Amino acid sequence: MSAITSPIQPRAKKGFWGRREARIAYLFLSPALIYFFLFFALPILADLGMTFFAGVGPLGGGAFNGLDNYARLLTDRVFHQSLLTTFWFMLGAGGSCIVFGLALALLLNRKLRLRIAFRAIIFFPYMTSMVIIALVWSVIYDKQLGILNYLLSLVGIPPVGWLNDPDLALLAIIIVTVWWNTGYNMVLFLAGLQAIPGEFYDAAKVDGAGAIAVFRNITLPLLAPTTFFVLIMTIINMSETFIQPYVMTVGGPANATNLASYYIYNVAFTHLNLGYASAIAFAMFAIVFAITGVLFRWWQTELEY
Amino acid sequence: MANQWCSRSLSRRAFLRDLTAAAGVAAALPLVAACAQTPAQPAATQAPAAAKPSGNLNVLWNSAHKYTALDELVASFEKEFNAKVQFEYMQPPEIRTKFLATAAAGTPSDFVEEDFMTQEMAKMGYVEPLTKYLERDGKAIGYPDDFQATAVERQMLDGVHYGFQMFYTNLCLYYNKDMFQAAGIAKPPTTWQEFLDAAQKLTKRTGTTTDVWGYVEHYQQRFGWMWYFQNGAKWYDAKSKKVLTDSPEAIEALQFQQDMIWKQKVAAEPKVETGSNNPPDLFKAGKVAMITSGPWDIKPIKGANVSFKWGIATPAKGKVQATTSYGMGLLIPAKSKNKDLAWEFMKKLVSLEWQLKVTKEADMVMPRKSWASHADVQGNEWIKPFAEAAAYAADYNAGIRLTGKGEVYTTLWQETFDNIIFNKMTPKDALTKYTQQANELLSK
Repeated sequence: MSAITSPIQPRAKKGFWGRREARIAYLFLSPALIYFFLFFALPILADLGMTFFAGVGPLGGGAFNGLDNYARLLTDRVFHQSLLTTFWFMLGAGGSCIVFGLALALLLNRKLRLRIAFRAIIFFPYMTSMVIIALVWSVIYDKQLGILNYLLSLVGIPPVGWLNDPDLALLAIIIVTVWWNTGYNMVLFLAGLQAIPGEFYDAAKVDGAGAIAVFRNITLPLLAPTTFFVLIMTIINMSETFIQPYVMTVGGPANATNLASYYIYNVAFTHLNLGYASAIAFAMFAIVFAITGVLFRWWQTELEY
Repeated sequence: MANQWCSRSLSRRAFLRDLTAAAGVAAALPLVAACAQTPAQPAATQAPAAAKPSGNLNVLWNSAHKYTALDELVASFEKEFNAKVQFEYMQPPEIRTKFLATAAAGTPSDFVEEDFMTQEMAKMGYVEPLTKYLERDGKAIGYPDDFQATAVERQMLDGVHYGFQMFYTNLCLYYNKDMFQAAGIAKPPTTWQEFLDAAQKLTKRTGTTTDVWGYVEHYQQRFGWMWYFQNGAKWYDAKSKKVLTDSPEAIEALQFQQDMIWKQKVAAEPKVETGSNNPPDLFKAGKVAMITSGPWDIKPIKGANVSFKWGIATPAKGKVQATTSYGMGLLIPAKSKNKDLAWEFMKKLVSLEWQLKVTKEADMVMPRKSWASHADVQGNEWIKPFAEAAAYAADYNAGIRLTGKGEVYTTLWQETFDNIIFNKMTPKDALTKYTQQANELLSK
């Protein structure tokens, strides 16, 4: 009986050569680390420092105010409203993007005629600048001159103030966001679907499983890693949405679309209060970090297949 | 594999620990250094440089203000001063963002076209006082005597001049002459009652659909102040440091605006938008007969080759004759690398000669009194009303923008306007709520 040789080599003893290799590795890594430090870590640390100052911070004569900016978060009515709006936006736009993305991926993963063309058409909005999309949709939504109200008028529906009505404005920008982002999620789900081994479906077919049972017991569980990735990315993307309120609604009417990112911008550059804006940004970071952290813990055990 | 990772992890951790420590120190240094500094102060007045300045001038400029007259001025300036002028074009909100960020970082442009920010930025020490330059050249360029008083005040802080108004715009009435004639209205309205009567006559409906509106208001809150001033309302009292927006005059002014939309139904709802494009768009499309806007809409409407005759008149008079003033100004950042050259450039841009050229090219309105009385302006049917209104135009947020509480005159005020116009809240309730919240914020 021949001896079995393990492909795993025994661990090299920690010593001079080991440390030298590590140093060389860090040397090669250093450009990326320096870049990360200068353009990510340092600004984040500086911004964290800014949260303890009033106004535009120490360089603009703003006084050190300790935790005042964080304390203000507890009483700022507009911030609370903005947080709630962001939550509804994340739920409405994010949820729809995931559901529609998955539905379209399932549909276009089948052997349909022109499926490549459909995939391209659905993905196309994502390749377009959000600023352009927001401008075009603003014209579409226009109460007096927009094509949407014109089409509605053909069936006798009076003009709707899509962006003027505080009850409709958030829905209007959710629709734009879903139209823009669904194609991206669809592509991710398609990649996930195509990575599921066909044998599972063959076995299910032999067992006589129906389409719903196959979807529930094979597709959804085996798509879990992709779904998780899409979910996390969608939460992060939606929480930092800025262009739609900036271009389409200026956060209005009556703060109905004042998403957190837009509010941070306004506080920083319109109200000239960089310290408080930084505190809001860190609060938002903490909230998104906590949500994704909880999701990570919850989903952790079910990802392998 | 896990063990192999661990065998590397000690040195990696040590490296990352050192790196993090270094990052912390590096990040803290500017903050500590900044804390140790006293707040930035305007540079002390020095004797002006005797030598003719030259070199490079980096200019932060409004992308809407690319004029042939500017190109000509730059070419001649570069030749005269052996200089190179480089422009970075942006929209006004981005100019504000960029200037604030670069000034805080100590690397601003050398020269900036500003929009209502000179006083705020001067307060933070980001703007060069013009004292030494004005002492030398002020009389020769007619400053401040030849400039409209409000235009001068907008560029001053605590008695010190920090900038110049380049444009000095205001709101006047644009009206569709053909629609006026068809409705039997002989002349543009001069009072609120005439305005309302005209709007009623001009509004055309087919069944429940409105084909033509008498009037449409701008969405941006800064354009609505004309009505308040005309009704004798005041926004802010600098002495008591309180807003006065729950006054009967302010309530009446907002009630007038609200009623035109929802009660008399002679004004279209304003469109929620970042800019101020909707009123001129509706006007050009023949969907609205009257708008109030600044001279910046003359050129686009002329360019649209509309099929109707139109004109401009001074705004209707309420209890007093009033309108609101706007317009971009010029400032030299405190950390500009070429202040003397920037000053020379500023002088060229506020010269009567150049301002008349821009008026001819772009129908813009300027702050000089000699410009307003100039034959070229008096003979220009589009510009003349603006030149007349310049004499009584008022800064919409004078005083309050120096409180350092931007939310009072931006977000909170816009929310109040939205609640009245879109949520149909009564002006009395909305303004009482605003006044209470604003004064609470101002007292902190």
